[in-house]
Amino acid sequence: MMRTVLPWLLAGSLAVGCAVPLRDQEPVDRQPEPARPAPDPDRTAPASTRPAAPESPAVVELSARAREALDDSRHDDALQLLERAIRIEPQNGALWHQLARVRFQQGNYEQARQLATRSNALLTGNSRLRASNDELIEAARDAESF
Amino acid sequence: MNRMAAKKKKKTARKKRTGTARPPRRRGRRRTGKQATAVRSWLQRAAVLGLLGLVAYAVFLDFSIRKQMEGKRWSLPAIVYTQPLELYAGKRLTRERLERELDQVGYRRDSGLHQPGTYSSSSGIVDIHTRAFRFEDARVPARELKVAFSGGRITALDNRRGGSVAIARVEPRRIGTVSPTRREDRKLIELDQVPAHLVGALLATEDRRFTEHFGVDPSGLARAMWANIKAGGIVQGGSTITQQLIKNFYLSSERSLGRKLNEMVMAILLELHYDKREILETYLNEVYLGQSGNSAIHGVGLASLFYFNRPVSELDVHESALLVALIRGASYYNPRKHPERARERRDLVIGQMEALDYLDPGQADAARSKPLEITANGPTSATVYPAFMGLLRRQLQDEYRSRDLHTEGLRIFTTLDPEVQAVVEDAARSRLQAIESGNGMDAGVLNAAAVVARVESGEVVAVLGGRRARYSGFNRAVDAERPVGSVIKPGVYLAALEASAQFNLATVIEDEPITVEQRGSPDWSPENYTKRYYGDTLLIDALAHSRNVSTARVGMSVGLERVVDMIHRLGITRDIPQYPSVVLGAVPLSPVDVAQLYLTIANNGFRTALRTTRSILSNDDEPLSRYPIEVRQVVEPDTVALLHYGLQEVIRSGTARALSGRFDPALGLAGKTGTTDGFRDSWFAGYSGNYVTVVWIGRDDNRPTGLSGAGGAMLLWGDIMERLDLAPTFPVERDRIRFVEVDEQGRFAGGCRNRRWLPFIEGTIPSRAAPCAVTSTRSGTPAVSARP
Repeated sequence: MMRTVLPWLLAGSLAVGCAVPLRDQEPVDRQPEPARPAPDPDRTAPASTRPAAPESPAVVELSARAREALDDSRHDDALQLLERAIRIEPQNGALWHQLARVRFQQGNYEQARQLATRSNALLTGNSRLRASNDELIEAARDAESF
Repeated sequence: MNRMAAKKKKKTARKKRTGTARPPRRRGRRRTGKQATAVRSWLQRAAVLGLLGLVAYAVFLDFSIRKQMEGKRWSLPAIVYTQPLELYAGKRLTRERLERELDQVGYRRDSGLHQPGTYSSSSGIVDIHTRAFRFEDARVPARELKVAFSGGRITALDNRRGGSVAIARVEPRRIGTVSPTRREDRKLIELDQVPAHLVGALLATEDRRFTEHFGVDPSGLARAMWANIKAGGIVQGGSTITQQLIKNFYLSSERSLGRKLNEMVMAILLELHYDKREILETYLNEVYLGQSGNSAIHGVGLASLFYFNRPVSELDVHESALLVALIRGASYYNPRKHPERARERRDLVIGQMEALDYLDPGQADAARSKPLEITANGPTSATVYPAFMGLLRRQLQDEYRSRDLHTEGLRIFTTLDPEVQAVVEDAARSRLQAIESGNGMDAGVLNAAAVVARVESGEVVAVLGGRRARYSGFNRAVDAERPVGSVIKPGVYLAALEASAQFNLATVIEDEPITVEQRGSPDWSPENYTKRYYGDTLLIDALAHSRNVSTARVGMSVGLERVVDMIHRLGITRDIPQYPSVVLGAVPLSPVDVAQLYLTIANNGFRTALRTTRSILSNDDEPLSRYPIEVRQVVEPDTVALLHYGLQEVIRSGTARALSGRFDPALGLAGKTGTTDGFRDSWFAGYSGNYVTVVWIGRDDNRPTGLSGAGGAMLLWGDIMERLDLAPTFPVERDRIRFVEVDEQGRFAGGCRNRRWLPFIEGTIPSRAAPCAVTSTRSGTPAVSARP
């Protein structure tokens, strides 16, 4: 009995925990630009930065539609919408987090954990998104161990 | 309809029964001599038997007709699509590129946007009336969009009826079918999709009494016979559409009286069971209308795409007339080979339509004045992308029986990006020519293979299987396993960097001769490419300059087991022997394998499988398979970030520095050259933030080309990447990574003259300081956080 109920309880608590709109988290995660090395006198250091541009309206729309799809348990739709968004902004950690949440709801805890880890790898500093990812990873681990 | 057919059948069955009930009464009336009785009874028995035989035969014909009509009528090869072009504000896209895409999927210019499948273009604006399309995820209705461009980007996307649109798609290109040996191809249509003038043209030319006759048209037959007698040969068939369908469906093409009788009986039976609409629709899907390579074009649905690159619903009168003209001889009237003949026949069809009042004289004249307006090539001309299709088939073969791919009409949505594919093909063509002429080689001796995939998803967007990209011969991208040389080295260095207590980018490696003893085989003494030794070398430079001796030392020190394990973790599934020479790439891999390996690095240590397919739908649009993004972390992102910095160094200052001038340094491109013994294989593998690209150049006979990785594959890699819309690679700067100034001995060198910045994971920062270094006053440890 517990075996079947617990993941759902976890999923429920997680859904509540992640109820913060993802878009609002974006600026928090992107703002702390990593300290870059000073320019080398002999050579220009590699300039590779996280996308500082605001999220494209297309990504906002796809992400919102994915959230609706997830609410309706249309998991495949949600995945496809998020993948379209990720193709536009591959380094947007919030999208990977959302993808992880869809996988969690599908009961694919292994992928939920991996995708949340993928999301974390795109972040710098501590942020609410990182906290959400960590929470999701934890929940997925718990669910997996049942 | 089926119920109607069943009712009709009962009626005929009843008729048959009353028919057989009569003879006994007749028999009772006539009774004369014994002999006559015997003859009569014999005759009667024969008649009954014959009748039974006829009935049995009719039942058999009836059965086979219904079996064909009601079962799956045709085996349909899977339809394969490219990825669709996405439109959204901010996307890098030129107006010309969008127009090209619209032309490719058969949109026509029409300033009024009167119907779906049209667009109009003015300075900086493209208005599109999109077609309704069932994409992999949803059916999207037709709509009118306004796309505004500026500075090489889409600046706004709006609905012409009001409101802005966040994102929209142009339907994908149809790139043929999966089977290279297919015989018959068609795209099923429903009668409702067929324009009235196409039906009119068909009836006017082939069967003007179609709506009235019962399957056979005696007056039509008589007319045909008269015409044949007059002409002294067979000029008209006199077959109804129903008869033609029967002929195509069930009978051989032999011309005999027996066959003709059979055909007539079956045509009548068909008409008893099915209504005219269904017969017409089946005919329109069945009729043979052309040939594309070894594949036969059947039905007006596919023929419309094949000749006009547009759905049948969008055809104009003159185009409908051409399709009908082809019924009488698709090869004789082939409009691409014999345009004059085709046009003459088309105009004849238009004349018939006019004569039978399907067109008024004005319409007929207008149609006759139009040129043929066919496309130069059919979009379905057999396997335009053989190398990509080869990889696709390989990836699908585990899940789908090849029979299903050829018969079930699956719709396969692939990851192929035809624009990137075109870039790769063009670049390969001109670069190979340039290399050959620049190096005094005979033209055509070199061959090449390439793979381009999207980093974040592993989606393969282009595959080059050989120099002749359209030729479906040996697929070098998938099937050629060649030694990879130094292209393997990232696996060695990543294994080393993972042993962070032992190695970092500033670890000093002795670039001096090394001999490795191997049990059971001769000692192994690698040499540098330059045949020189460089003494103390920082690990990053050993990688950037591809020093073999240093790499052998690093590999031996880390341990072969860990190196091989790392190569497997990065995504190479095939067996790799634990020979020392593996660290220098004495391992045969295909370009696709190498792409998988670099994909994991480009993804910061997350492995995702290369994939060619997004979704597969059944022929009635039910989702069958989805191939979502799946990732697995196989190496710590911080460790991969160090390797990534090293691979960037290859382009900044190492063996691929010739590339540095060709790209914006802000892109942070990373890659690695590879050259094998005797200059047999020239490799380059590398990535931007969005594309991982692998190129191999060599000879099919495996003879030396004299080309290093930098002299061959790297140049083509640059040509390809230069023409793609690149995004910056992932940042080396991470929470736990610090940039520190070091000297050439790998010591902390803050404040020294000869120093460079290198990234280190926290806890692995050099503890030794150069004599010239300015250390922090507190502890004597390097002042890592203080930057000039």
